[in-house]
Amino acid sequence: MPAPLHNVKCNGGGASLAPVSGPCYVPVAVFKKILVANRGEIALRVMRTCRELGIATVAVYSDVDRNALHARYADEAYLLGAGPPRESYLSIEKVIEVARRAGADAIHPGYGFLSENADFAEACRTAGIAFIGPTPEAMRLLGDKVAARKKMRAAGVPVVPGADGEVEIDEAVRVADEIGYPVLIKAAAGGGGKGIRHVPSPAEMENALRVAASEATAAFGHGGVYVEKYLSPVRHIEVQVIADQHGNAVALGERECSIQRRHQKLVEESPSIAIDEATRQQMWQAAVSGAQASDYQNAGTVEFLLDKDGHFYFLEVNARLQVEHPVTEFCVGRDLVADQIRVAAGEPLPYGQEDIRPSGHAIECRISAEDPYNNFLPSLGLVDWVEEPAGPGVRVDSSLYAGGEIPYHYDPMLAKVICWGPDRDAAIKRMLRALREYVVVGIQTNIPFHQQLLTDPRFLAGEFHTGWLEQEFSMESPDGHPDEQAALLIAAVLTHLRKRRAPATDPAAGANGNAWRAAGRDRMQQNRLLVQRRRR
Amino acid sequence: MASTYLLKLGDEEHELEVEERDGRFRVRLGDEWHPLDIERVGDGARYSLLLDHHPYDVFAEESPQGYHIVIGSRLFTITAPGLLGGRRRAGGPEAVETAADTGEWVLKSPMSGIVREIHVQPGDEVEANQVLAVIEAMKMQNDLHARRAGTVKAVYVSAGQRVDQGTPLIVLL
Repeated sequence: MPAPLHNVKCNGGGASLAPVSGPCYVPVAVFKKILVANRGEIALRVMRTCRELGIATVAVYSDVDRNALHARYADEAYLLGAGPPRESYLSIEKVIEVARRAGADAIHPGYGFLSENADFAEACRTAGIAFIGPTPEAMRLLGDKVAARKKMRAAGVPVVPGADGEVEIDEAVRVADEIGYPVLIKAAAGGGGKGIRHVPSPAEMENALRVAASEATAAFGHGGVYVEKYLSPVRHIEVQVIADQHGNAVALGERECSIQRRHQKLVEESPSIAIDEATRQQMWQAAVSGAQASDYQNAGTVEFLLDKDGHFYFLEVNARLQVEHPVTEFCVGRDLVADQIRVAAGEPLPYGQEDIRPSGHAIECRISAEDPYNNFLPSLGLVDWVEEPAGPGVRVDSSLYAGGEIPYHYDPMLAKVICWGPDRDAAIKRMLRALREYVVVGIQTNIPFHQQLLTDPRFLAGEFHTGWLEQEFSMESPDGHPDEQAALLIAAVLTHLRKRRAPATDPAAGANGNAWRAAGRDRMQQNRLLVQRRRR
Repeated sequence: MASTYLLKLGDEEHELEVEERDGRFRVRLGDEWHPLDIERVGDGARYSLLLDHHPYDVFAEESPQGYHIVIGSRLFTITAPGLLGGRRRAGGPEAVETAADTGEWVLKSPMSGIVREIHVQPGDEVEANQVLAVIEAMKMQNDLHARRAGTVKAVYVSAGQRVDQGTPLIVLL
């Protein structure tokens, strides 16, 4: 078992410019060695905290990630298997085996991969290794949409109007009539946007129910469905919670995450400017009640929908650390990974709800290897050069490095820029400043998208909802950019220098010889394919 | 010594005049002359530029037809038709040859990934915008469409195959 913490009061700490509220505690020994069962920026982020806490780190990597930052940063690194996630990062057996071999006493799963896999949490428990996250029981409860809905409702958390459990056709039609159309038919075993059917009017209801049930049987092995009112437009607002093993749960503030494309969040900020202080307090309280009702432990996020009348409804619980957690860290001045490690070790939360007084405004932009001028098509290949933003109030969590290859097996999100400012306007301006500093050469990124979004008057006014980006936002043409002239002038000088080189001899000779790498560069000039994409 | 160059950015051609004196340059675009000081940073493709005394960090790489220039997060692809050698009349109207001129259109993979589906075989008639193949990369399935109608002349790959960016997949007549 981990050694107890020495609770030492101190004045500083946290990653934020914001004042730190409440006492912080310096652990002497929690775990000795933590395996991080993930890759990319989140693996690095977790390891950084471990190192600060004096805990040794174990990286796991797939064969295409041998040179990845996380595998080079850790104190030890072990090969899991081939690039495809099933053969490496998703293999419970391989991860547990490495943890045993390396003598890790805890595993941090990051987000994605095995982070919400109850069987993995169970396997850790069986192996006598602490899982830094919720219990398998809580994960299973919250993974079952119908059970989670019932539990939340019983705890007094508002849920979207609808049936309270799986329904047969007659009951489903009756419920739909009562709550009013349009409605959603959802597979009880679904999740992550899968197994959802939109029904605009009563005429289509019975047929839709039959199709939904047979689809659910085929996809999830269970044909149970339930019915909810379809709310639109809505905002996506979520509350960060953390709970210890002693029944204490604290809300660490909310995050506004309505800027989404294909159900993927792109920009998150805190606090939300869409809710008043009374609603905020109700939402935080609902999140804490929901976490306590489901015996939740460790960090988690309770997601809500906010309708245009200002009512909020429980959506689901993300039973893990989220991509956008640094937004909250900036505002509350806490290191969430450090707190996760503490509560996983059995320590009580070192703060209560009254200590949480968020300060200022934080915003995050997710940087992906996607070409915003080519339908957000993935852009893979070699990163020739990277320069990342820095300076006051800027945090960059990144997996990018010069010479790195972007593998095609994994998520296109490569880095996150998080900025803090005393208010929303200052945070946005700081983000624009940071994005201008961000240089990635060799692949295309979505940075120009963020730059356009953050200057859009509708975004600045906070007038958006979850469908806004896809329905009402489009990229401006890249033509006519002010830097076009500079590019032309440079090209003219380079042509001048190139002409001066002896034309009949080695074309790579001359002042710029080493830099000229023509081969393999034509990809940038390729035909602009008409490409559409969909989430698998 | 002043020289004039024709450069193409997107669909537009521009005439630029370069004057060099003591390692510094003056470049004319349209009617305006701009003082330009360019210094290479390290031994790579990085340059520090002072253009009208405004600093720019620039990455510039040469290709057979011209340059890929990155300023900030923007990539500018500039072709210099005069670079293609003496076969072409310097300054004359011309375009970089593409396969389109021969009547064939080659669908190349826009990314590294795995071919998940091939929807056509040689001899098939296809319509513009029809999905020809699906490539999986980064957990995304990407539909590749025909840019125009035509007849499938050849299919070079099969489902399950790994392809690199730029790998020819399908040829349309």
